[in-house]
Amino acid sequence: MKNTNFRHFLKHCVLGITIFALVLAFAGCGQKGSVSTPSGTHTDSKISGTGSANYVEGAERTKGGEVVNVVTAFNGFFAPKSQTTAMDVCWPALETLGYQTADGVWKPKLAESWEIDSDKFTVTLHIRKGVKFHNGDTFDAKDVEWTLSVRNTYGTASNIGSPVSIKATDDYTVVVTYKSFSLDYLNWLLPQFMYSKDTFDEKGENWVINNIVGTGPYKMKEYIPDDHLTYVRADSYWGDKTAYVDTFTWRVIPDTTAQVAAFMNGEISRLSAPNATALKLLESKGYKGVEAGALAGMQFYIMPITLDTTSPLSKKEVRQAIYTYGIDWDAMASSLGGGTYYHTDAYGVTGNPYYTKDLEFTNGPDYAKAKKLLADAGYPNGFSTKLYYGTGGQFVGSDAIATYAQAELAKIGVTVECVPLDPTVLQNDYMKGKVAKSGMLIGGTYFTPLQTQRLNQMHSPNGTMSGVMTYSDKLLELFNKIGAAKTQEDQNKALRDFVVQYVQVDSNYWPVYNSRTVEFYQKWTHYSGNARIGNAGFDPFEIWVDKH
Amino acid sequence: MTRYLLNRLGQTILIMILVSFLTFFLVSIMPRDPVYALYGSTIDQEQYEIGYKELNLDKPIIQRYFIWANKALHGDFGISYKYSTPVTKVISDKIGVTLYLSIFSMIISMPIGILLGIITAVKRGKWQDTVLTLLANITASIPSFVIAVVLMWVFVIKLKLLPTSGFTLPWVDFGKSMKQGVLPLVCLSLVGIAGTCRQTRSSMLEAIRQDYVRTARSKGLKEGFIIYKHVMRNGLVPIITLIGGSLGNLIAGSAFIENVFGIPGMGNLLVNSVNNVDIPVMQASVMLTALVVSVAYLVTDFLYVAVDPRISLR
Amino acid sequence: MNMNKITPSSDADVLKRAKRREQKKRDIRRFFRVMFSRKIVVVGAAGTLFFVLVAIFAPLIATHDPNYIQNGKNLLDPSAQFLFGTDMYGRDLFSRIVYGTRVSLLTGVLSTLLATLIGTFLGMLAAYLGGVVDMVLMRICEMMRAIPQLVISMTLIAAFGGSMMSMVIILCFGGIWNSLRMMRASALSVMSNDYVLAAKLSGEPMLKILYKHILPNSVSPIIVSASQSVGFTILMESGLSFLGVGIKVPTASWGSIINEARVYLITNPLYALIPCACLAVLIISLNLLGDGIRDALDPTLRGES
Repeated sequence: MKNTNFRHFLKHCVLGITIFALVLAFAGCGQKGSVSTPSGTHTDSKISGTGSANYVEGAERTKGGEVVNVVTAFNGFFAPKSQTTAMDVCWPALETLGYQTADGVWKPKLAESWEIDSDKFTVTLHIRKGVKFHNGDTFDAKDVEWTLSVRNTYGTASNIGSPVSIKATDDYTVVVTYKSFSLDYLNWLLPQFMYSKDTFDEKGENWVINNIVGTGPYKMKEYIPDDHLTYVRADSYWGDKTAYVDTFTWRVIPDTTAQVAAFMNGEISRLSAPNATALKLLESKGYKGVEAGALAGMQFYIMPITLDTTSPLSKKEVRQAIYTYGIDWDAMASSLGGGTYYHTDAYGVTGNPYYTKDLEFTNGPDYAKAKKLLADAGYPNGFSTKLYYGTGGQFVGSDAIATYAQAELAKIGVTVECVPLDPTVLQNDYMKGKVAKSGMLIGGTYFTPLQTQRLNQMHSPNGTMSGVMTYSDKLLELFNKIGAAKTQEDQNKALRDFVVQYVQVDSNYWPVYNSRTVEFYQKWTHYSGNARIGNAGFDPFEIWVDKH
Repeated sequence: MTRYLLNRLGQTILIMILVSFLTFFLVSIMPRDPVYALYGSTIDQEQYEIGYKELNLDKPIIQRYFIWANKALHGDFGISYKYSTPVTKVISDKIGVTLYLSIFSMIISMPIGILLGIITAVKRGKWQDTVLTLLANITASIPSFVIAVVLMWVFVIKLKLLPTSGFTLPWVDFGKSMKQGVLPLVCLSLVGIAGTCRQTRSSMLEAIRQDYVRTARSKGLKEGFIIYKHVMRNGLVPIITLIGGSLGNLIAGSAFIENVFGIPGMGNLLVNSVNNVDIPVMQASVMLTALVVSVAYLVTDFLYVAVDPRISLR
Repeated sequence: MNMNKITPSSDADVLKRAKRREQKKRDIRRFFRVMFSRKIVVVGAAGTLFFVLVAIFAPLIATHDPNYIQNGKNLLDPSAQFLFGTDMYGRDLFSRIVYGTRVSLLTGVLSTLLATLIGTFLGMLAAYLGGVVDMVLMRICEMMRAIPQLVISMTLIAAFGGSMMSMVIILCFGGIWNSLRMMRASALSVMSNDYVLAAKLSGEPMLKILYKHILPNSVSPIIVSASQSVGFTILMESGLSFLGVGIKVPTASWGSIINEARVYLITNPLYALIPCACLAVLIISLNLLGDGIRDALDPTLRGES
């Protein structure tokens, strides 16, 4: 009796082991080892990228078909108060006042023309006539005035430069007045997507946030939160150009593995490579990626908190030791993002007008030298400190940076404790004048052509991150020069000088990496070289789909 | 009986009130600035002050609790930080998905689990029992997300048989709904079957050991008759607990599956709201979860009493 | 009858005590014999022992420092140098999994131990004192039962941070209420016995009564419940880490390794599958062992009463 039981038991053991072995064998095929070497060609122009890899100049454009894009989530609001999502997913249906071509020239769209008065600090916009919204409302100056002014209600007026007044002087003219000179007037106003005031008044904010009513060649068909967003062609478009594609859809797939699998299954038409492994995998399957340019890229940075004068990080030499010699930034960037992240020492996105090669000054880690510098500064045995990082939302990925930085700094004797903390909490502490935390803080920020705006908002002596650092006199002086510049060249030079002082000399800001977008297209999906139009999303007339 | 009913009902209401206070307090110590969360982090100081007052943050916590509770009783749980829509709408969009998947998987797993449990109890000691119990133990021990990840790897990545993620209701697109739903349902059901089987087995064994069974056997009655008449009817009472427990675990149990397969349901919402510190949604979700669990236990207790009068009404 | 207990021990008493000790030894031997008579329990015990040994000897077994990043060497295949390959940062996966054993076992065992200790004490207290204390504790129990442990743990971790210590405390907090309820039910049934009543009347201090009379009768269900809780707690900890709310960087928890590895499932499946397998085997072993303990204790308990 015992024997048969044992035999049964043995049978089941063998079965179990066989299954386990099969699984391992499965896992064995499909292994792709990869040693990521620090790579990265830095893109050099504002709006680059030649569209889909299979684009043929002058090829016939077929009408019909569907383009499916993918997002991890719909972030932000479909509302005029903060147009963060509009550029990503609303451009089929919403239109901007103007758009920028690859050479930086502004072209008209909903605004036919404009004039700038540098002495009176005004911009006069002439609005296009004969445009209707998808629900039949007429588009005119009152919609422009309202879309721009409504930002004041939500405190986001600084995104358009905090104008003093916005007035519709007649049905098709709007005058915007600023309080001082700036080179960014057009950069502020023209990429704004226009919403219908009448719809807002009639339906209320909550409806507007979930239903997109615009003037564009496509109208919203369906929006299921966290699932998908679909547009179909609107036959009542004001222009005479042809919109080729029948339907644009955005699907939500939060898992990056699932995104890549969906692309390879043919379920989605276009994919931004979410990580280095996805990049390598897609390339190994024969897909060619296209660099989409770093125009509105993301830069992660670390800011040493230097308010506490007893902390080692308040010493410039310590900060320089850590940033210049203490961490292998290239390895970190390539390890965390492979071909899609690269390290740069420049503030902002490489390719900004003020950028030159000599802004790059770290040459790879030198742990011995870092340790010596620390010893010279009075910390021969290193020191302990905290590293704060945010989680969720735009800070996804900060924990990876924290992990890496912690391991690297351990090599030079600096013991780092990683503390998850919402950066807005820290921000608020400083604004309320509470006691300073000491340590380091990981942040991430989007850069746009509005380089001075980002600077003013965040890193100026009154900006949101001003509360974590002590500004040297030289730094303040250089900062003021930026605001005083009257021409683009002067501004570029002032920015360069400031950045050198900010990152190299004072070492108050440590760029970690920028993210570059590498895009993949299915063979039947075509985005021409003119498809990307700066901060206005994409030009729907430059996209078409083959029959397949 | 009515006294017991009222007593239990009263208890449930008390629990809900306690839970609401606990949730509110817990959430208020979250390290997230609610003003920046709602209005974005680029607003200026002036705007911040205005927002601060609007959210009643200048008032003491007890007062804030009552304001929130008052609004909640009228069905207003505030506006979600992430979706900028009323919380009630966000939840109502997603609860249906979770309910659909959970109930579907319960319909599959309960009968199968009970059947398997009966088999193992009846054939106790024989090879059917050993194999099934072993399988049930193993399946119940493996974390649900492990099963989900492994199944996803096998069927989606290696074999490319099924779509990666997403969710469609069957009356919208039957084929797509079935394809997308297979893996999540299989994962949920496997866990359900294993648990049900084990529970059924132990309660059936408990019943078999009882004296009245021995008496029946000694009277010479056939084994099958005994099983049917005595063991099953008594052994199945704890099944009610099982159903109640599964219903209660609806939301938390689906969290992992929804996370792996990208299903926009309540479980995922709960997890994301904690990760993103979306305070209004978090408060409402926790309250809802507690409500579901409490109601499930309430119903279970009533059924218990109704089915087995021997159970004392304390 | 009670008066007799105060008399000095006679020869009969000594003999009785010696007999009881012998009986206890025989019971324990029988317990182990019954337990290990089933092959499946042996497997479970072996599996658990294996992981315990790995956890204890982790520094000797691991080939590298689990947190050391080899610059540029991320996502490598298994090789002689890196037995399971490297993870997304360039850390040796084998060493991380070995040290991860410590995390899983420590959090599981410690929090279950603490939860059982505190829970049983409070349960006895609730049963003994009754009245307000009992009502308050039971209400809290039900409140905690109404909110799934996952949710409570997540919110507490978000509020208090995710170091290993706070994780242990938070998981312990979640598990107290179960032991409390069980202990209370068991204690209540014992309390109705005559000798407990008599002990109360004769003025014995509360703690003595609790630990001498009430506790010994409930040992079995406690042990069974505790041994089954360990597996559940490990599951909870790995689940939390998997969702991204668990023990924070850089500590290697199997759940967080699986979470990291999810993204690389296509190209480096072993990165995710190995910790999955380890987790599964550990919890299965623990549960098999727990079942064995339960089955072995059951007849023993019945034999005694």
